[in-house]
Amino acid sequence: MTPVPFLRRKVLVCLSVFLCCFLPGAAQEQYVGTVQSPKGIGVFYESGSAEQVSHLSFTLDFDGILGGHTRRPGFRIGFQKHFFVPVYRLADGTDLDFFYGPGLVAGAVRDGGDFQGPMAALRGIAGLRFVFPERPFALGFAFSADLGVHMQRVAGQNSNILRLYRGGLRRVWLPEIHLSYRF
Amino acid sequence: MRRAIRHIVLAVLLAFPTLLRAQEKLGIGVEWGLGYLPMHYIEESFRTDALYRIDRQGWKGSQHINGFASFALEYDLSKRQTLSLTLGKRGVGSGDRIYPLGLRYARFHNGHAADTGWFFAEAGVAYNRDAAVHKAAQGLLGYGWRYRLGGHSFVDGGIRLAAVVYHPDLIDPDTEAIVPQRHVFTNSRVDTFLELFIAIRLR
Repeated sequence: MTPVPFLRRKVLVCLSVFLCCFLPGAAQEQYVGTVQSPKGIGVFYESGSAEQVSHLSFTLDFDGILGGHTRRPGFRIGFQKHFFVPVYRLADGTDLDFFYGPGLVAGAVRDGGDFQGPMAALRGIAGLRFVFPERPFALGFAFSADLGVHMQRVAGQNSNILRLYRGGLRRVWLPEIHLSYRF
Repeated sequence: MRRAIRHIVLAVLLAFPTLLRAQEKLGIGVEWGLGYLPMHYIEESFRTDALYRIDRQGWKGSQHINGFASFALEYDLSKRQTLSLTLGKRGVGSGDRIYPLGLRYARFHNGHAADTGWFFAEAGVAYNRDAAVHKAAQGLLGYGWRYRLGGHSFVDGGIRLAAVVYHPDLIDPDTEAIVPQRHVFTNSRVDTFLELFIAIRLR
């Protein structure tokens, strides 16, 4: 493995320490990565052991972006726990794990309308993760569902109404890809 | 369209035994990303409902973000070169979805099974789902970086330039309805994208 340049290491250490202040538990394994999905793209930080990690993410929400209805993405901040179950070890030593976990997510999204309103939801996630032994990378495929509420503007009136966050359930079938770097 | 599908199915069936033989040289990949459309070129001429004619031609500024995703079947021509067949879906302009089928040539500086820089060129035909004229075409040029994750899996990332030629439905400025095909004289549009992509490949 090539050594990490000093400045980059310093930035990563500062970032890790900053994030660790918010995450419970002793940090043994740490990951920084991106989440990619038709639902949105974002970055995440994971800290924990081989059995479970705490997952903190910031995601841009693509509701209406890919269809060309708007150019302004929403955003979401999420906190999740991932629990890992080893499934299989491939011939080259790659570990395949099943993971699942609960979480919380909040942000400001469109949810099919024009108004970008605040939302808060409970999240459930399940997927598969590949951990490569030779390289400090992990690759995950997951599906997630959000059950919560979204604030919407009543058409023609200057008032808001709290409704079910439909986007969280409607887009369950869209996969997420997690690509992460392990420290 | 149905005939085209029949031909594709026939070609796949004929190619299948060859593909099985060439298994060691085959790989699969998924590629996706986002494109930014700074400009597009239009050439349109049509008669409106009020019976006057509109001619428009030239480059227009537009700011759209479109997504794309594609699946690829990759064949190794040599250690440094691959040829792939790609099938994807992408958004163009403001709301048209097209399904491009293309052939891609890629060249890897250090061989396709190592950490390496690589470039590619792709051209293909496409099916536009959301317009009266379904035919479309796509061309791509790109540069990427390949990183081996381990074993037989690779992750690619890079930048690509795309040009999509298609024929979207025209809107009558007075009635805001779609102009019927019999009133359209010429109608072409070229979208030029600057795109970032990520891909995962297995072989």
